[in-house]
Amino acid sequence: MNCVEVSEKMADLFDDSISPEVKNELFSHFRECEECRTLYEEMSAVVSELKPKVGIHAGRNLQQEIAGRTLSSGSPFQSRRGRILPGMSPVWKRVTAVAAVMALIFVLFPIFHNRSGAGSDAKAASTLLGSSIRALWDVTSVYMEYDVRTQEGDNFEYINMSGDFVSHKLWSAFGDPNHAEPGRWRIEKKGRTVVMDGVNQYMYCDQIGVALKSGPGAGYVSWMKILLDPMEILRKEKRAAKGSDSKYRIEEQGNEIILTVNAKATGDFRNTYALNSSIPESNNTRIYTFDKTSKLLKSFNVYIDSAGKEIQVIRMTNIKYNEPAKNELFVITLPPEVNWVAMKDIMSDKNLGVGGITSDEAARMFFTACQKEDWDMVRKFIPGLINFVQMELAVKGQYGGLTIISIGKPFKSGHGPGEFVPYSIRCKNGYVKTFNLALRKDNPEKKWIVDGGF
Amino acid sequence: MTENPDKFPQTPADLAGFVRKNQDRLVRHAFFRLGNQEEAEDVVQEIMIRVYQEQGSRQHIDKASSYVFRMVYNACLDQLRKKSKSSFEQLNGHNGSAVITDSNHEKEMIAREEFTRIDAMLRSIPEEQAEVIRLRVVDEMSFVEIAEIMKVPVTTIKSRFSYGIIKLRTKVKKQEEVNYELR
Repeated sequence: MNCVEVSEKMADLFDDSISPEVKNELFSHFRECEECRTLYEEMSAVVSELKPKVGIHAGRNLQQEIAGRTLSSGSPFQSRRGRILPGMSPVWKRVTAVAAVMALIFVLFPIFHNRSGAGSDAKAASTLLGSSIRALWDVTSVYMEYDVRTQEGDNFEYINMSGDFVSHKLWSAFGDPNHAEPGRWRIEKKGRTVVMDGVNQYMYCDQIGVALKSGPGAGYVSWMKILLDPMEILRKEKRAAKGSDSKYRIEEQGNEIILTVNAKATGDFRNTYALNSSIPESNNTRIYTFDKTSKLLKSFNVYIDSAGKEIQVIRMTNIKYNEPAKNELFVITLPPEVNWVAMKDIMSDKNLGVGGITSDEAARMFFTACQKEDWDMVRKFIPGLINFVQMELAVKGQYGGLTIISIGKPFKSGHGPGEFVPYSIRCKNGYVKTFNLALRKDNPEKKWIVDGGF
Repeated sequence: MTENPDKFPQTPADLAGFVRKNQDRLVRHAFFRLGNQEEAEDVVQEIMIRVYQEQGSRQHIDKASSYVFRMVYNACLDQLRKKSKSSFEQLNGHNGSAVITDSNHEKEMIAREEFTRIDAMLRSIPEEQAEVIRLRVVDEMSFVEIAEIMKVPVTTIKSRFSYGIIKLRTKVKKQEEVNYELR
């Protein structure tokens, strides 16, 4: 073999399938050719450098989780953390924002982001996890009613600690009790309804005439996702708890199994503005009660710890299994003047956003545009404004001709990917509003858009 | 006729055996693509669920482990593509680099550091060469298997491997020289 032939065969030395004859020939050449030998030695050193020095193994629970999902998952496309497999639908991210005045903050955040190691009652846990609960009881659907301290029409994620309870209804139909098709579901409260028809998610905010359509993994219902499949709650909570400061506990009391999760707020709270504004952004206790015999969820309550005081923010009032879920539930019929707009079309609008400035400059530009009633500029800041007539009329009516009193220094708080800018304005009708404008620029062009707070 | 030991799982019991046999290799592969154990396990879990769902239509596959490896390989690539598009995840450091956000476990930290180290080396050479090297050195696949996965001739795979390693060797040498001068 000459040097050219050796260089052509060199790669074979790094493959186990090399024949002994070729290997001998190559090494014979190395004995005579220092250049090729050096090259081989240096290549070997690089390969050795690239070899991982740590062993990576599947977690102890992976096999069990897979078995559990094949036996009991109603929606096999739904992963443990609400993530959908790449290629099916992206979830594990926040989409670029839309106007939150219209409560369109689509926070695609994992349910109960907190994770932790945990002390758990292994027997009770395996009772809940071990069998195909849904198959065992032939559960094909769940219906629940629960109250949340929030605001009508606002994000499903939003928690308003000082607000009243707002009634919610949830329907989830699994189809085949073992696995099979993606589920269909509906969650509604006054002013906002989200439906998953098995293919897409649709959100309709009737008070402001906003109708949005997204893929199956959209985050319109944020953390409430966990309630869509009550049989998966323990598995998801266990998974979410892994490796963080939060803790969960499972205990049997009489004819009940109680799962208690104590979770810490996650996010940046050097400024506490966003603290307690959602479940993940709060120190909270979630209590799930399961029937010991059927293993089915009976109730669900959430308490937020605010300055040492526990305030209940979610309370389940009713839960029923195998209630007939009519097909009409999974369709939203819009009034004639409203049409569905695809979220991706809104966010791909090239005119959206303003770049190259700071968030407070963006806030000032936005309010100045409202002041001058420069609606082309306002549309740049508010995604979807151009698409929804009713929403545009509301913005024009409330903010057209305002006067800026002050714009403060920006700050970050909680999970939000953007910044808050304090402001004070006087509306045309004399009303003085002092609040924080939420802006974000986590889009490819790094342009600021208004995400809420007015 | 003897039963194919590497058949596509057809029953829950088949699947359990298949998972037991392949899970470490698949998670390891996904980890060194994604840099995160949990994400790696999620991908593997999703693929296994899909394997179970597609049992009927995949009966004819006789090399199930290679087939499933390819599914995981593709799923990881999809995930990486999505991540590169997602500015949110970039903000959170999940852009292919290993930023520890969700665990302080020492073992995981070491693993992620190892991922970062290898990933940084491979990022310095063309992706198609890095890809071959990763599959050969990290996943310990043969050139023939890599050729099947990447759907290019074995000779091309070997060239990419050699060129990539030689490029890395040059970079390592330069780095050594810089380090020497800094001493």
